[in-house]
Amino acid sequence: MEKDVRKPTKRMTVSTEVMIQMVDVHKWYGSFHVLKDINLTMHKGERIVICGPSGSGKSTLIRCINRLEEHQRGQIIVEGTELTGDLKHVEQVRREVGMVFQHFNLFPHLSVLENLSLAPIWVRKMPRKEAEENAMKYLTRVKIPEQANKYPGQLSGGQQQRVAIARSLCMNPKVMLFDEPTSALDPEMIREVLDVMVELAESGMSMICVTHEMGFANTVANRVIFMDEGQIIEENNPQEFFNNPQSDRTKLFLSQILSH
Amino acid sequence: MTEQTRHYEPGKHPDLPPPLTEVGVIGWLRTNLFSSWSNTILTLVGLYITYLLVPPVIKWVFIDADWVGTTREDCSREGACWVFIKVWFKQLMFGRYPLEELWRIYTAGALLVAAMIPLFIPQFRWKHWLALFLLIIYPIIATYLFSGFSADAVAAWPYRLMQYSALALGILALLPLLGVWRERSAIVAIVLLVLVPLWGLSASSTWTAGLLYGAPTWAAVIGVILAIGAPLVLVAGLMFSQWRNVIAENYWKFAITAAVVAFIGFMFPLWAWPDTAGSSPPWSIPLTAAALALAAVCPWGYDRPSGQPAWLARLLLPAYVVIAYLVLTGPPDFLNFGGLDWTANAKPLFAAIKDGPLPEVETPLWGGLFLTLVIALVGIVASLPIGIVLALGRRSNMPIIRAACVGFIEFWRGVPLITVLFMSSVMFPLFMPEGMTFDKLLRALIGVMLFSAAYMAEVVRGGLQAIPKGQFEAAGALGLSYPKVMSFVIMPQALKIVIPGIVNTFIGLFKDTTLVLIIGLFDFLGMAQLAATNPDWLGFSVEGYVFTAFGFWCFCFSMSRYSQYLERKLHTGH
Repeated sequence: MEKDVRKPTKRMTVSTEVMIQMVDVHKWYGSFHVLKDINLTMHKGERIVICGPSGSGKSTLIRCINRLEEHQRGQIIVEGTELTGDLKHVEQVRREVGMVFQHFNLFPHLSVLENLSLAPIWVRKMPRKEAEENAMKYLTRVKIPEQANKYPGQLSGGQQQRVAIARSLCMNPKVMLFDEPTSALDPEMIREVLDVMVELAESGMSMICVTHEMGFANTVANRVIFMDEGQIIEENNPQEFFNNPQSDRTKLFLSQILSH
Repeated sequence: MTEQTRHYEPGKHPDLPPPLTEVGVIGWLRTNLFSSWSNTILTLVGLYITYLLVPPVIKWVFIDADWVGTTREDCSREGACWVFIKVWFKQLMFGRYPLEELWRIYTAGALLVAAMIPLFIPQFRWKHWLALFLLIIYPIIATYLFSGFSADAVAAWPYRLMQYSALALGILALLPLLGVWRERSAIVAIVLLVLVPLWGLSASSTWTAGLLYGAPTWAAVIGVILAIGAPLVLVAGLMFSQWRNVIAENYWKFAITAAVVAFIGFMFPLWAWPDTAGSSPPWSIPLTAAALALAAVCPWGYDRPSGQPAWLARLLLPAYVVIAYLVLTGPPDFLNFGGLDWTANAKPLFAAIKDGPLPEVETPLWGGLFLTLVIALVGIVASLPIGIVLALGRRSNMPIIRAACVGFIEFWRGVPLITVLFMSSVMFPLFMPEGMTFDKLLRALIGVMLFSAAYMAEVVRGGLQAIPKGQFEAAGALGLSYPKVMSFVIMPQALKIVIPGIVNTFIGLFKDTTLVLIIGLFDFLGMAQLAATNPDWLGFSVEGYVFTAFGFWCFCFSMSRYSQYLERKLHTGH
């Protein structure tokens, strides 16, 4: 895959304020040990890309951050709130953490505008009119304001994913999680979604992104994490990571995905 | 070279019209009736069968039928005797419901239709409130219209209302303690929503009793103002002003105040006419004093955010107290312009209401299509929410709730409806304590309700299972709580998918209501059978069956059409 598609953008200053902290996190699916001893600290304004072969636990890792998956050992603290079985904490964290899924997961029975205003109205208690204005603002930001009154089923994959990004942004989250946002898209639509993500990164949004788009990683990330078999194998800035990988596993992985 | 066979440059091929044999009448006949030899034969056989069946039916129903007359002697021709239906029509529709009281059914029906019409107008904006009215207030009105009040119920109703409202308030006030509905203002709104209609009822009968039976009009007017006006002012003031925040922060104090005010309202008829029921209950005076004191003290308990004007809040309840006191003791001499003898004019209140505006029509008199519709509508309206709750319970992670729901569903689904009805009618009373009775219709209604709820639960569960996991995750990831995820994201989709199944259950339920015949209730079909066994009208059961079949078909077919319309309307291209 192409490398260095753009010049690296200006590196935003990363604050010392800790947003997400994972300490000794373990997770099992039944007897399968899917996350092993994960330690990860994310600061405000950081843009982390997680990559690795399929089944390495990278999706599981970010899904633990808003507790779509439960971890069984260790601590996950998001914005000062520890994720436990307490539903109040979970809802509190989810209000501040946006998530974009591989398969968009838009609500098919609601129009695009309703998709975007649902959570602000019912979670943030925003008046409907204000929520809709807010929604239009973000739809404009992802460059599809003209689709506001259509239903998700009438949009292309790329448009749907941009709506999904706007839906998360409408909640004004402090962190965005992207779970392979371009993997389900036709090749000609990947660009439009990546453009939106790059723009978002440049605006200073903290984000963690699971992706195979190495060009994207190289452009916007200030840290790349490589995972394999449930463990973090290597963690570095993009230049070092791509040009000077340390472990053999990383080298093998990079040679496989960059060879064609 | 013809247009059809011409060749074009790549990328320049225009759209050509289809061949003539594919469109128009000929095309339709070819594709649908005569597409092959075997289909041609089937078409001809079908036409022959239609020829054999349809003309005789038309002849029996229309051409050879008797339409005019009043006795069976008027039915001399070969075809159907519709005179039979005409003579028995009122009974087929309403059973043995007293003819002079039929206006009550008409009124309730007209009100239902009138209230339903706006639901079908897309531009109508207050559909939610109207639906709430139809689901909560309309049943109360309809029950009152249909059955009136029995003498016992009349004597007991102020106490009943008080008990029910106290129960409702207690439950609502406890909810936030259980962690349900942390939105306190929602609770207050619901408390008020429960109170106001109850209050209105209380007021309306005070009013009618006063007007109709010569009780002091002065007191009746004040009673109405108090009972309707005060809570309305409370609602308006408390819900739509800056006090909303005050309530939200002091919901429990408010709940107590509301309960106390409600209590005063419900006891008002007793206090206003202390000697009416023979004698006023001995505890009424100290209770009144206590209630008034509480009501007066409560507003001062509010911790208002600084800068909120509170004079009206402080004024409202004391004003209420003063007026209540005036009414209790009668107006002081300097206000009693008419020189009314306050107590002498008061007629026994209970005796007055006893023969009051709407006499009781006992449920055994209900029947015909009316009864069918009552059972079916109650079953339909109640089974959907119960079914949804059961379906969610069956998918719950909590093992006890899940087991309870599975047990409930499997029990009710595993038992024939006839057994349910029979048990409710014959066995159930045996288990009740001496002297405690439930209305037979009510028991049948509950049986039908639970039975169809179990079916509905499985239909809804089917819909829930069709919703991809991603929908739950996406909605949850936005911070929506479980009830909101369910009501805004999952249920609308799940219910839309299972509309055919839901309507199927409704239609089944509608037709199953005919089984109430087994416990001696005469619904539409039962009435037709009864009419056909009348010695003067023996031998016309076919007409009866055809007519009831047609009636049932009309209702079921319209349900089916409406469901298809809904499916089309809710289709959003996915």
